[in-house]
Amino acid sequence: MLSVSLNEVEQISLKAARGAGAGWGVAEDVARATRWMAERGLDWSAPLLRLLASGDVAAHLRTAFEIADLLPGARCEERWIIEGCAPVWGLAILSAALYGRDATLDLAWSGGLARQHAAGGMSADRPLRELGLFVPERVTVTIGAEAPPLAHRVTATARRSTLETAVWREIGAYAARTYVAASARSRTAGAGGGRVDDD
Amino acid sequence: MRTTLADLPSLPPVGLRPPDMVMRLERMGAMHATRLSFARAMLRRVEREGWRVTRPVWEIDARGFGHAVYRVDTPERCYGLVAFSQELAPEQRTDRVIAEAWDTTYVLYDGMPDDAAIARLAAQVPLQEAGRFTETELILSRANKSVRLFDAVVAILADGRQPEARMLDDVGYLMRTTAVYGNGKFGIADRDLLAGRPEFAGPFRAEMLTVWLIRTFTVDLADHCAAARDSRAVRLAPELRRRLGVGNSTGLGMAPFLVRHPVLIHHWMEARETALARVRSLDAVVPAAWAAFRSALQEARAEVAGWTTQDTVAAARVHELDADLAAFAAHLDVPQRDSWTWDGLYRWAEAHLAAEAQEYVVSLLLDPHGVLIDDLADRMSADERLGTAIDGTADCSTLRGAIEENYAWALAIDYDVPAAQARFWYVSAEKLEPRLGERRDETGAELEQPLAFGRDMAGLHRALSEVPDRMLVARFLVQRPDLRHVVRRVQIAARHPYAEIRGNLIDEAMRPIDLLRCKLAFFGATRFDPRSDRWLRISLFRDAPLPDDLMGSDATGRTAC
Repeated sequence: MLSVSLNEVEQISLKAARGAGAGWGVAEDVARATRWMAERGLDWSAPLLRLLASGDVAAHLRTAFEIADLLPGARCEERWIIEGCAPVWGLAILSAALYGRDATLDLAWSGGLARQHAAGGMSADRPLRELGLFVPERVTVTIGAEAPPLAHRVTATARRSTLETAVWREIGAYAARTYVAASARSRTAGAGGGRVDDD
Repeated sequence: MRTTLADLPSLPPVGLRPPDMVMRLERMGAMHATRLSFARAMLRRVEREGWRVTRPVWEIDARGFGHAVYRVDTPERCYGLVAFSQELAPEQRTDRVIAEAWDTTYVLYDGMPDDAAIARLAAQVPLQEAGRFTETELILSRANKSVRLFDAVVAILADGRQPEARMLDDVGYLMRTTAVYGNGKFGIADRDLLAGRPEFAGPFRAEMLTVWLIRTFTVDLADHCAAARDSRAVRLAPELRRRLGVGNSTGLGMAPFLVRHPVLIHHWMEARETALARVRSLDAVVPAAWAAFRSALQEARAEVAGWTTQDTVAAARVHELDADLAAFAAHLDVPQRDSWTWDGLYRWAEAHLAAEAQEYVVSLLLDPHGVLIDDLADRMSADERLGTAIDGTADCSTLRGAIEENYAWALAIDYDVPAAQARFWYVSAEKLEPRLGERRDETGAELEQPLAFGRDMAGLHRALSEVPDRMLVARFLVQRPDLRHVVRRVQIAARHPYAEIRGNLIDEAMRPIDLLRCKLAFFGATRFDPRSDRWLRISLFRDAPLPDDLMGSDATGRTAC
C-alpha cells in the first residue's frame, strides 16, 4: 500500500486526465474533484480509472460541468438532471462552484440524498457507504438557500490517501503520456544546463 | 520619529502602478528583494517572537559526514531540521535536478524526530525525489558544497586564521541548494497542514526557515571540519559568518509556478505595489526615515559594487545599475531635499533611470517604512480555490470584452509569425524536469504544457467571435471543453489584475530567467548570477542574522513538541 499526499492525488489526476485526452481545463476540474474525494476519505482512484477508461472524459462529465458553470446565476429551487454519471462526480465538481457561496446543493438519486454545503462540508441522509456514490445514476440537482445538515455529516478531515501501489502505477501510466521522452539534446538544451559544477 | 499608518496623508493617495507596467517580463526580470520578501518577513517573526534554535544532535565524524538535528522552538510548536552529510564523488556533483546524490540533504520535521524517525529519514532523505516521505516531513532539500570555497575556508580555519572577507564575498556561500520541495511532494505534508499555523503565515515560510537553518549548518560544518583537522583551528568569526548566505541554483522548474498560480501571484504583486503606493502617498519625508533611506542606499551601492556575474548581459545591467544608483545618490545631494516627497523621488527615478534601478529604488523606498507596510507581508497568501469556479452565466460577448480589456497585449501579437511560437514548454520523462523546446526542431510539441496564455487567449477570442454574442459561456464550453482553462483564466484575470504575466512565454526572444528573477526576488534572493537565459545562481540570507544573533539571554524557553 502507498500513502500519498493530497497534492499528489491532485497532480497525478491532472496529468492522468490530460493523458487520457481531456483538455487542460477539464483535467484541472477532474483533479480538484479527486482531491475533494480524498479529503473526505472516499476512494478516488477507482472512479478516476473508470473515467479515464471511458474514452471521453469531457463528454462523461459534460452535464456536471455545465451545471457547475451555471450555478453563479442559478435561482433558488432551480433544478437540473445529470444522467449516467456516478453521483460522486456531481458532488465533487459542483462543490467547487459552490465554494464561498451562501447556498446549498441537494443531489438526490435512488441511493439517497446528499447535501453540499457552501463551506465545503457535506451531509447525507444515510451513512456514506450506503449511498451508492460510485454507481452511475440519474441524479437530480437542486440549489437552495443555506440549509441545516442532514443526519450524517461527511467531514473533509483526511490528510492522506492510501491506495494499492499497482493502482497508483496504473494511474501514473496515463500521467506518463504527458511527458516528453528523454533525449541527450533535451537534457542539455531543454533546461539550459549540462555544465559540470564549477562553483 | 517613526511613520505610522495614522500619518498617511489626507491628500488623495498615489495609486498602484498598473499591471501593464508591473507584469511585463522585462520589469519582472528587474525586480529586487524588498522588506516584504519571504526570507526577511520570516526573520522578523523569528526575532519578534523570540524563536529559539538549538542543536541537540551532532553526529558528524572528523571528515564531516554524519547527521545533525537543529531544534527550533516557536511560541506554539517546535520543529527539527535534520541534516545529513555524506561523501560525494566529484563527477556526481551537479546543480541539475537530474542529479542523484548530493553532499548534504535535509528535511524539516514536524516536531522533534526520535531515533527511529532519524533512522527512517537517514534511509530516505539522501535519496530526495527517489525517496518516500510522510506527513511529519514538511520540507525536503539538498545542497552541494561550493567547490571554490568550502575546503579553502576549512583549511584557513584549521590553520588558526580567518579567511579574507573578499574571498567569502566572491562566492557568498559555503553551500548551494539545488531544490527546496514543499506541498506534498514525494509524500511530504501538504501545504494545507501548515496553512493555519501562525508561525508560517505568509507564503513559503517553512521553506525559508529550512534554508535559514541550512545556512547555519553549513558554517557549523566548516568549523567542525577545521577543528577535526588541527588543534590550532579557530571558529569562523561572527562578522564573517553573517557575510555568508546559502546559495541556490535555479532553473526552469521555477518558471511554471508563476503561471500556474495566478491568484497567488496577484496577491504577491498587489502587496508589493500597495506598499509602494502607501509610501509614495506620504506627504512628508520624516528625518528618521530619510536617514534610514540614505543608509540603505549606501549599503545598496556597496552591495551592487560587489555584485559579480559571469553572464555578459547581466553584467552590463549591473554596471548600469551601479551608475544609475550613483546618479540617484547625486540627485539626493542637491539642497532642496526638504521639499521632496517619496513620490517625487520615485517619479524622478522612473523618469531618469533604467528599469533595474527603478525597481531597486522601489526596494529602497520600502525599506525604512516597516511600520507602514509590514502588515502586508502576512497578507500575501491566497485561498486559490476561490479562483477556480467558472461563471458560465455571462454571455460570449462579455467574455470577449474581458479578453480585449485585460489581454490587449496578447491580441496584438501575430502568432502566425514563427518567432511568436518558436518554443514550447514541456515536462521531460527524465525526473519530470520542466524544459523548454524549440518547436521547429524538436519533437514533443503536442505535449506542450498550458503556459502560453497569450496565444491561447487569442485563440479563445477568435473562437468566441464565431458564436452568437448572446450565447452563454456555459453553452460555449459544452461545445469547446478544450478551452475551459482559458475561459477560467480570463475570469481570474478580470478579478485579479496582477494575475497574468503580460508577455508571450513561447516567443523566440523570451528570457525565462526574467520569471525566475521575479520569484526569487519575492523569496528575498540577492546576487542574481545568470548562467544562461534559463538558469541562475543566487544567494539567500547573505548579511542576515544567524540564530545566535537573534537569541538574547531572554530567549523563550522550549515548547512541548
